[in-house]
Amino acid sequence: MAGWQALLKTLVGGVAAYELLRLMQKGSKPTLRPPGARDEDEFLALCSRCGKCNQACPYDSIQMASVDFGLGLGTPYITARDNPCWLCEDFPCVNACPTEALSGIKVRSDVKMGVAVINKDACIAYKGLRCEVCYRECPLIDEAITLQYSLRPGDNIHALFAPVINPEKCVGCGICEHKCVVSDPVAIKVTPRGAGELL
Amino acid sequence: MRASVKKWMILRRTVQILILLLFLSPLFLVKVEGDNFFYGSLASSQIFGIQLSDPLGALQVTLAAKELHWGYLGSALLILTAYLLLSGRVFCSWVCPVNTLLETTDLLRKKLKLPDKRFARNTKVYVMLAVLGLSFAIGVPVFEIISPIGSVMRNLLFLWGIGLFFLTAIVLFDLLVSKRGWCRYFCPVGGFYQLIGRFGLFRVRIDHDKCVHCQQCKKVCFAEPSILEPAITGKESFVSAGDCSLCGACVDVCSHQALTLGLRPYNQPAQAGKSMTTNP
Ligand code: SF4
Ligand code: SF4
Ligand code: SF4
Ligand code: SF4
Ligand code: SF4
Repeated sequence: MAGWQALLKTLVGGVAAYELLRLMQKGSKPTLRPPGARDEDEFLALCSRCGKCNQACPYDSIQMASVDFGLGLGTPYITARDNPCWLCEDFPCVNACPTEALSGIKVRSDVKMGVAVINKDACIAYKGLRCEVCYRECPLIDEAITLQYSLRPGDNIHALFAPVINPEKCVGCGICEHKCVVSDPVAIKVTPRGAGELL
Repeated sequence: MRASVKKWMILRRTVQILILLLFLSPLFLVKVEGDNFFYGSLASSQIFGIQLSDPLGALQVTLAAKELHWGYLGSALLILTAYLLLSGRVFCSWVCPVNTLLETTDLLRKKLKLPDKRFARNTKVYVMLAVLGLSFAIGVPVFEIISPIGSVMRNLLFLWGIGLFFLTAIVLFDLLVSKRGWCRYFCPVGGFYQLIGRFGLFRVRIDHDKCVHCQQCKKVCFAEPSILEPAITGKESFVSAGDCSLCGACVDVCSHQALTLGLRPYNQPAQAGKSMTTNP
């Protein structure tokens, strides 16, 4: 008898929990995940929140999400401006993951964390100053990011050395965003893969 | 007669501390050649290259993702087998950091007069089933998010402030509403281990000739005092309930040496079969 009452209470609690969790699910936001992360929904399902990837990362790039991540609480993420993914040759984070929430990365070009986007209004290279920091620091220099030379509009003496992203090649590591000399707003920012489809 | 030294308590405290030190070791051990001999959390860890994962967590992830990953499931099977052999809830009193915390809450209860609301102890099995059902329905390993065990681990290992709210609620609940309430009645991990707990090879055994029915053991039981009842009344020759965490507190407290902790005896009286099916 007591068992059935408990079962009933659990069912009621279960329905309430379901509604609450669905609400939390809506609160989840796209964020930069470590290399090899599956698409966001699959990632939230597969990640056991064990933190092994965090401990495996030699650069302490991976942070563990707090309550403001909704259902993503306890999952790994990266804040590129503070500390990007340094694209280790052997991907210790991916190797540490027990559940294949992070998987399928053999070489750097397999990584698809997101795509860097340049804010031409903030980028000083587009204003005519030579900067090139993002270009020089990109581990995939001349592939993911190139410099485009042109004359400054309405000025036939000075040239523009403007960084341009190749979205096909950019892996979204965020090193450029970390190194960008302009802040507030940062002139180059990685759009996490999941959010890209919203734009 | 005088109660002997609390040898199980001493042994258990030692193991609890060693386990905490093991999990915290990546924080203070210098990495040898870039790799620690141990890292991870109770959700999943790695020791000397061997992967170990929490079975209930693995079930949730598998149901949520609707995918099978054999390496991961294998690492959970290792842990599952260990607890199947020992007795499921050994995890609770010897390993779980939430229990370590709540044992201190329990000490506070001794100093104050506080109410103790009782619930059905099988509730935690239903909570466990609900957790699995919800993980499947929502596609997220539900308990891994709010789990107080997870938040203790994450807060110790990664940074303070991750998901402390649920943990705080549990501490308050245990303190103000129900003695050891979370572990006794609601924790799905406890529920999971309760289910497999009755098969364990180790049990609390009773010597009916020595037992004087003083009920001291029931006062200290971590799991739920009622699980000792069949043994005391002579229905069982050992505590068969899957709830028993083999904490040894009852053995320590019994001043008549009627209780021992050891291998499961074969001579369970016939009527015990009934109580075993009704008390998982
Ligand atoms: S690839 Fe290296 S730097 Fe990047 S997240 Fe993984 S472990 Fe950290
Ligand atoms: S190692 Fe994998 S399962 Fe563990 S926290 Fe990182 S992504 Fe999640
Ligand atoms: S995110 Fe920036 S640094 Fe990384 S690959 Fe893309 S352009 Fe290069
Ligand atoms: S019941 Fe849950 S919280 Fe309590 S000791 Fe067991 S696993 Fe830990
Ligand atoms: S029956 Fe004894 S060993 Fe088992 S949980 Fe209770 S006090 Fe601990």
